[in-house]
Amino acid sequence: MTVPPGIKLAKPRQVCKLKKSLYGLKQASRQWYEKLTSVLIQQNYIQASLDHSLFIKKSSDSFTVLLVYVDDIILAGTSLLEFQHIKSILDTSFKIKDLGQLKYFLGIEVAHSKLGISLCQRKYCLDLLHDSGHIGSKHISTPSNPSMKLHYDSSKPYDDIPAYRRLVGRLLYLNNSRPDITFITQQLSQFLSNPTVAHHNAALRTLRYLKSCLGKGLFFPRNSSITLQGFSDVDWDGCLDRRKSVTSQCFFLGHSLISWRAKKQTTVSGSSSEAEYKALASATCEIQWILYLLHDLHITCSKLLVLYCDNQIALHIATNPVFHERTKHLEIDCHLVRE
Amino acid sequence: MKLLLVSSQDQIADFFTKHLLPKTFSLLLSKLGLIDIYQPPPCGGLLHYIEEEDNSSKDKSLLAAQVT
Repeated sequence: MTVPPGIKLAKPRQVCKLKKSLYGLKQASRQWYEKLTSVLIQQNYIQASLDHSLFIKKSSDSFTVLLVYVDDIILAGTSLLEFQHIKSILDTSFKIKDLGQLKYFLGIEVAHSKLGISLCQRKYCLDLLHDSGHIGSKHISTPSNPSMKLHYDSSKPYDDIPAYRRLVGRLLYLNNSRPDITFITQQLSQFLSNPTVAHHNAALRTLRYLKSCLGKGLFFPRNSSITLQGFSDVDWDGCLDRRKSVTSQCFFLGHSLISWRAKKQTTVSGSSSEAEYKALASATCEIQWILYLLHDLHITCSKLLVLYCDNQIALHIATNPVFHERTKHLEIDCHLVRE
Repeated sequence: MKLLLVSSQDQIADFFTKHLLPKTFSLLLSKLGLIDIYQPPPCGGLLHYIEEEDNSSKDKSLLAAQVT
């Protein structure tokens, strides 16, 4: 590491050797990661190849999964014996505090019942309303105004840009359990550099919507089957300023919504089917990722996985092996979807 | 993997591409399977009760019919 200020060097270009990682050093996080990983791997845990914070142990009679966020760890599995074992190992090496059944993790509230597991961010939502001073505002039924499309308009620039950014940032974190505000958050984040009053008003409307349903959250039913379904759609020309399209996709495992996204495409598309096609390609990548993750968790998808798309032409391009001149630039995406 | 066509009305991913009207919004939202564990079911669960009572009264009338 570089020498801290205040220490005189005997020779120029000297550096320090790090013997022990200290809290606050640039190297601390990496050292911690390496130490935790080595302890878990000694205990026969296997690190998932796609998500390096996921550790899996499978033996003849038990299956245990360990999910790490810096120094917060979630443990899930089939054997209490293995739980005790790994907890004592972690306790001897790092001194852990056992918080019992999972209830609150990184601002996400978890509730268990016979029917299933629910995730919500009610407290985070309340704090957000409180801090922005909208705790007493009126309810509204949708997060965005259906008659208005956000773009770089000519209304007055909004004065407090950092406040707008903070607000959008907090809405982004709320997206973890709230797919209903995903689209409006995507729209609001387009104007982070110079928001106008109109954009700020749209953000406040979203807060009023949140007020009407604070505790809404994801629900994962216990009796759900393991079939993967994906939906892919696009709003061609969705961005009025740059004429780019907006990709949207969501994925269900049985009845549970597990992944969703609204994202502006990186390039402009000449036709709606081209835009749909690009969306299909990115949905395929996401499905592939989910499949690899399921494979790591030793879960096999029982049925054929299905990807739904509402554009006939995009489907024709996907199945037809002959490349047309106009679709030539999409060739890479084509191969991706077919594979 | 299989690619299938879905009509635009049933396209759930539509939820993430448009500013929707309240009716379509709540329809698609219900398909996503979100729940609010803090909000009690509509009418405080009374609707359920009435249905059950209806069933039991039907049972009674059936019984009465058998007795006669």
